[in-house]
Amino acid sequence: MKIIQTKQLTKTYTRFKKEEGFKGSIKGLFKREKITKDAVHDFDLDIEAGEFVGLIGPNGAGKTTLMKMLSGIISPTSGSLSALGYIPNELKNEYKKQFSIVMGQKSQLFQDLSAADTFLLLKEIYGIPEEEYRRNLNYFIELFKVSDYLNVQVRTLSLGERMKMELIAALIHSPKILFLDEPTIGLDAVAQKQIRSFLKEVNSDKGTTILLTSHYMDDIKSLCKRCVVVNNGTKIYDGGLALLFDKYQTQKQITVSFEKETAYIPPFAVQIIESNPFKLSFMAPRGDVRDILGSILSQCEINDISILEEDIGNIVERIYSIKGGSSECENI
Amino acid sequence: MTITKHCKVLFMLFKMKLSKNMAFRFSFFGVCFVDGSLFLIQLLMFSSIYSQVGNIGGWDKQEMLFFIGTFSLINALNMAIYFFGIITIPNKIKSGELDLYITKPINTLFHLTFESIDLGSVPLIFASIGILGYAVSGMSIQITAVNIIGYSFLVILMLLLYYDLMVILRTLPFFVIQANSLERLEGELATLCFKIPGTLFKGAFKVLFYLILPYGIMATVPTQFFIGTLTPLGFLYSICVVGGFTLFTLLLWKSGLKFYKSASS
Amino acid sequence: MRKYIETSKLLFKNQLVYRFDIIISMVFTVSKILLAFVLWGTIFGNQKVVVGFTFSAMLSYYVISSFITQLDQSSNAGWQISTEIKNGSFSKYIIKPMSILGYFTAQTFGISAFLVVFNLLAASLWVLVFRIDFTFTSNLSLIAAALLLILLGLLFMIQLNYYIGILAFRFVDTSVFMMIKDNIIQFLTGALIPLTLLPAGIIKVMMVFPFYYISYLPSMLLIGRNGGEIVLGIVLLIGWNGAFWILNHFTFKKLIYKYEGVGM
Repeated sequence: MKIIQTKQLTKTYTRFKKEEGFKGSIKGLFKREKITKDAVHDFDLDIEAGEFVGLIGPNGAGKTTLMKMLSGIISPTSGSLSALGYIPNELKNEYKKQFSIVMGQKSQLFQDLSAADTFLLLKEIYGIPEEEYRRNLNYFIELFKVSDYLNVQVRTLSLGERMKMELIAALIHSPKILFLDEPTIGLDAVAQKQIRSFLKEVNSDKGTTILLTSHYMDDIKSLCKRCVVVNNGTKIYDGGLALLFDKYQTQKQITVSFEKETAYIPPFAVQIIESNPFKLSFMAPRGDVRDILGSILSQCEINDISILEEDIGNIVERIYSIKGGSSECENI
Repeated sequence: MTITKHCKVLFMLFKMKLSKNMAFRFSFFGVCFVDGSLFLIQLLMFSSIYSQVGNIGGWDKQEMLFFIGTFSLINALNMAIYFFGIITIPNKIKSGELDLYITKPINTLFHLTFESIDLGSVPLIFASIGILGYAVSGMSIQITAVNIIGYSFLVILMLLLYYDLMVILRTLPFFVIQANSLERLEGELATLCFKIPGTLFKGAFKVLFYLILPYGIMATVPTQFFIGTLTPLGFLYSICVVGGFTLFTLLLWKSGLKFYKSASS
Repeated sequence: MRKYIETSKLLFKNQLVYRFDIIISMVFTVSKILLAFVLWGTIFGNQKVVVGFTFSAMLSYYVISSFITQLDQSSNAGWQISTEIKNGSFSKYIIKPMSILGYFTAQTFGISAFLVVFNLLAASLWVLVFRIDFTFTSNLSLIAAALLLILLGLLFMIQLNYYIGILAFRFVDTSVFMMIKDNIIQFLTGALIPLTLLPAGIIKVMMVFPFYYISYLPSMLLIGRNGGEIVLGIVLLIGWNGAFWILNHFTFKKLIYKYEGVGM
């Protein structure tokens, strides 16, 4: 069952140009130049019930705009859009009861009160029956292991604890769809990992359809089978994550530190990032990594070695630059 | 069903706001101090003027006192019920915080309106009633149940009108980027109209303050009714104005939501 | 000095961005004139002279006094300071190699300089719209004295608001206090009614405090009255300015230790 469907969805923003300097300010008093920009352009997207879809792309690509249209916060300029059979921007309460949105930079918790207070308010707003409320709350407290912070002033929580509470607040009414906009932003590695495992659990256990945007490749990799790459408001890839990486993640960053002074030069076509007698760091084609490692291990005494995935920005950049033939853009 | 739901939400909002406010004790009665000082200055101003002149446009000192009491009452009710919720709207539009309200399955305006009920303003309501009582004690009119019921009805009606005007101005940030000044303008005009009875306005000003921005009738009409100078036509007119403005407010709000741009996070 | 001038210039420019606000800001001054026009128009319908004012002198008083009051934007600076102390962004001033009071003085004068042009326009507009037979003194020494008093008054108001602003270091929430202050000052400076309407005893007391000289006395001077109070006014304002400068200096030194710089 298609739970979300968009066709040629477009959102155009109008901005005013502000000329610099004193004269520009005066001029702006009388005449301002309009600039229009499509934040989202001719966007087609189908999401099936129960999917966990990752939405990636550089800053300003249109991910958040897309999410805001799907949640009804803003209305599209043109194109069609349906979610659970509703038109989001009609702002029907029936629709609002079936989804939730979490924005990493906006909190819906009352800072001066405890998270439990906010949950009680949400219980009334969403009209959650007492029994269901208790059941859900207990389930999430158990899952997130947050019983200790439930009655603590939100202001005093750490960012990771707060985000867990935000997620509970978003999930307490058992939404069918969950929109997550950068939920792990600013969190440390431990908290990120915890949040990821909860989301996985919620997706598989409750069958919640989740649409996630994130700058952290690890989020996307560990959670989403399918991912949609957006740049300049258009979709440039939509399909399996594995395929995406096979195709575009062509490089890995290898960093080696040596026990003693070493002058090793890898016998492959690599791009050196840093090189000194005790440390070597370079980008290597994925296919060569095995051979390179073999060569290093056999020739040098190493202290430590790390292999990093390529940055998401690079990959997107590469997809974008290669994107000419549209064969990449097929749905699975 | 939907009414009980709204009542429950209202109660929760009230409870949360109350526990939040308890954290700041001095601010809790803030409105009382601030508007109380405004009100005292108003009394001081008029007693200075009445020390030099006998009456102002047919209003003697007692009637003026009653007028000031009425404005203070409407203002106090406004402060207690919806003021602190409504004033946050422009910021919520600008910062994009409104996102979280829009996605909730409850009327967004309702949520915003009753989010910040201020119990600290309640003493001001009693103080206003005290002033009204004092003003009446110096008047030579017969007080009947009709007086009190009609007066109360009109005060509630004017409270709604005040609400409409507040919301209309705070809906404009959906459409224009900078509307701070409009709020200041509202403050100036409301203060102006609360300072002098609307009957003193003539010509174009009458049209402005009775029809376009009807701050002029807010404290005037209930006072006129109480002291028996309001015509049936004036009564009917007030009801029409409030009805029209309420309708307009709801329509404007609705189209504002459609226009909402949601600042990027 | 240059950095303060740059601050003023930047603030001036910043104001221009909000063109909608500018128009409204000009319109603001009308509410006071309108109040005076309606209220005093009604009163003067019955009598020709009230406490020595004719109707046109009374309206002239309100035009001038609201012009001066509108120039004083220091209250905003006070609000800005206390808000920034509370949310932690005040740190940005502390780390800059300039005097903080100096910065806010420059900022406020920048805004005032911007407003002076528009307010003059507005004031002339009101004189025309309300067909006021404008009373204005032709005595140059009265005008000079009034200008000096206005300048000293603006300086004093900045210092006062700076003081109240930095009290936010010490108290959690000073906004209530600041609002009450704004209300009271409005009355004390004669923006609501000419202070001469008050009983003589009260006026005597008010003359010890600076508020009497900030906009009330200059306004009276400009319509050609109260010339005898000039010297007292200038001396008192200089005195109060000095006192507040010292007060600010020591208060800031003392309170800065309490600053936590939250959320810097």
